[in-house]
Amino acid sequence: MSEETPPNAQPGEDDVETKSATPVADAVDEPETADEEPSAEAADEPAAEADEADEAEAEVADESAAEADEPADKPAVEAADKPAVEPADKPAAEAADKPAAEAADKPAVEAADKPAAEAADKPAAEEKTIAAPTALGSALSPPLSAPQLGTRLVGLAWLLAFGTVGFVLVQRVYSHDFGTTNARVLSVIRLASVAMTAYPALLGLLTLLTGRRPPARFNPLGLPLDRWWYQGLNALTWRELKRVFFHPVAYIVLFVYLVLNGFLLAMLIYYYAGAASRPPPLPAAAYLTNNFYLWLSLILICPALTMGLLAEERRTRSLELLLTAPVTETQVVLSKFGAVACYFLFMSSFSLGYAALIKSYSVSWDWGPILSGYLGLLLIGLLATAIGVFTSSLTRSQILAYLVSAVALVGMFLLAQALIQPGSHPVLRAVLEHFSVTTHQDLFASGIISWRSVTYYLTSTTLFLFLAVRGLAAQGGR
Amino acid sequence: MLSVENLFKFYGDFLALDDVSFHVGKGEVVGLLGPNGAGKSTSMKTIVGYLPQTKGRIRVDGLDISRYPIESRRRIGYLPEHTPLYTDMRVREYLTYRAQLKGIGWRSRKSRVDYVIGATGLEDRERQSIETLSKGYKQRVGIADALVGDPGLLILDEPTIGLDPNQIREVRSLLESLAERHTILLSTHILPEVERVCDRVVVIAKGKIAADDTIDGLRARYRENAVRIALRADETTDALKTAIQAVNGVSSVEPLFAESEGTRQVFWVEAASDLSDDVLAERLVSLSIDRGWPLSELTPQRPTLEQIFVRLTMGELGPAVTDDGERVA
Repeated sequence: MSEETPPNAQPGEDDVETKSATPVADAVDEPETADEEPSAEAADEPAAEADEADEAEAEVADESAAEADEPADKPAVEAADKPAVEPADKPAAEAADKPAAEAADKPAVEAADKPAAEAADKPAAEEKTIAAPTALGSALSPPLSAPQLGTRLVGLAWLLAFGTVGFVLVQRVYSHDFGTTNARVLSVIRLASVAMTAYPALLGLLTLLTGRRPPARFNPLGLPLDRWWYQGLNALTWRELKRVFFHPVAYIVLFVYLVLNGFLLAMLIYYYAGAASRPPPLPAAAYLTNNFYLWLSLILICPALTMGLLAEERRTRSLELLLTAPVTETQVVLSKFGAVACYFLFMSSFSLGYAALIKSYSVSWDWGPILSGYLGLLLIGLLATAIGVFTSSLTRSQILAYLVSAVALVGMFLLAQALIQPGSHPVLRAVLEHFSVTTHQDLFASGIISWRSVTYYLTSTTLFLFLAVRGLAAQGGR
Repeated sequence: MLSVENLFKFYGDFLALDDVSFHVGKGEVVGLLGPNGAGKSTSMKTIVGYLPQTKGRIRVDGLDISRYPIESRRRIGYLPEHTPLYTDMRVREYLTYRAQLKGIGWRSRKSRVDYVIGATGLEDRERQSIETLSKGYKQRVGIADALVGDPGLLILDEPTIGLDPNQIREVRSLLESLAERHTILLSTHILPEVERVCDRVVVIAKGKIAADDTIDGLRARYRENAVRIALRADETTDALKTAIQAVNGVSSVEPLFAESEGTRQVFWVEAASDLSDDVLAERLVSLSIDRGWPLSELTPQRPTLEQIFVRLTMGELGPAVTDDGERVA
């Protein structure tokens, strides 16, 4: 038992450890991503978008120098005021908090029964030796103590910031003339979103390397970062991979996918053989990742892959066993998502064979648009899977989960595109374009890896995964 | 090991648990009894952290389960009510997966799985798919799963439900062997099981704790303070009744069977509140000797656990006399 209690028993010691580590890693991380990004985009973006985008990218390069200083500064400031206050305050604050919280918990009758001194002493003595609370799922019952509440608020602010990035990017679609001042603002936001995505991964890496869990204030989203967390995730993911890959549905799905893509290949051959006089708008192979048959197959397939993930666990009540094991809802959702995402990668790699086939008959060949198209396809797959996991987390009926996520995908793939008409209101149009998968995939398939699109996919995938975790944690279906 | 303090649980407007508090010490085996719908499963699901409580505090090894959900779950092995298992897996495969999930490192995993397979007698089924196992074996797999994380506390929700008598016997002896190493909280309807396995029982009725005591303690508390006596005498029932009534310390006498004179007559004799049923029995014996009435039965009434259970959970609604003529009070 004793070896299983998490290692950071002494809060003071830990603070020092992680504090010294974080700024270093941050400083290393941020300039790196800033360097990579302009070079990748500048190479891929065509002339049409280049003038507007390049301007911004140039700004990013400038900014990165200034930005690199900042992370080094910030923790230093933090280190200056926080540790001085915290270690001294913490035990006292904790001791003061808990009896108060407990007294509030207890009905008046009971408080009279038990000597107050006992109630106050016990928890303080027992809980001092135990590590900080971790899981997101723990938010459910007792009233939060002040530091916990603070942590949650920071987490909320974090999520809001995430949403704001998306919103600002929609704005950018709407008004194309941002101007130099706004471009600077935009580049700051970009760096921030890189940091937000990289930070949890960084924390996890640090935890693995040092073997210690960072203190709660460095982990406002409450990611339970320790060895057990990864071990649990590993166990769950293996199980899910086996279930996904060894299930008959996987191969029915593969069949549907290949048949529909076979139609596409036939159509392409027909098109290029018969109507060659008309210059094709895209390189032939680019259609492999951007066509109606593909959307149709994804609308049929993705919900089928995800429908049973959580709904079936609810129906057979094995969810009860799963959630009473020492794992969090987050781990469960991530493992299911990860397994289906792997299957999606496996499935979509089959159509690379078609690309190879077309290549052997074409005069000029460029792998660029093919690869960026597949990147776009993978991102679409992640988003569709996340939506499917979310709908599956809400119900115990697989059929219902299938239908709801299929309807959502129809909206994303087809409906939004159909609603974008020349006469529609510019704001509506901008929003629809931002949420329509086809707009983004048009760019990917023509070789443009647009930052805006990547952000769209990653943020909305994260959002749906977060919702799935909450859906799983909701007690309605239990 | 486990302490539950002032636990309340609402399902919407329905109050499922109403101020439930009890404590299970290290090494104890405690039975959670109660009729269906009394709140046994709800309290178990709350203790293992599957359902959040509306109010109250649950601690496992001193850890509040709401604040330290993962750490506390690592200390609990749980067998849910209907033993849901992944039916598409094989026994050993499933247990290995669960061991990994419960944080057993790869070095000790195989030996741990070997141990639980041995302890639950699953050796000859370890390569069989769970789907094809009989109910008794599925139950064993469930118990093996609860054991595999080497928890200090086992929480078993109706471990013997739906099993045939032989299987119940097997599970019961398994529980007895587990009781040596683990603290166990188990819920069940089968009262003989409780009497054999449990040190203590907690009775829940309508979401409230109706009793929390050792079985002997319950017996002492719900003692009838009455004696059942059967006499053979050539007297009328009324005459006999008057004679018994005259014995010092008898508060009431009631004939149980209206049998003809000269045959065996059975009476229910209640002692005055300050008199123990043993003393009353002695006095009744001397009465029969004095009058020369052969005595064929003299039973101080010790209630069975079943009678106590009915009395605690049905309250005043319980039947006064059971089918075979025994009073249940």
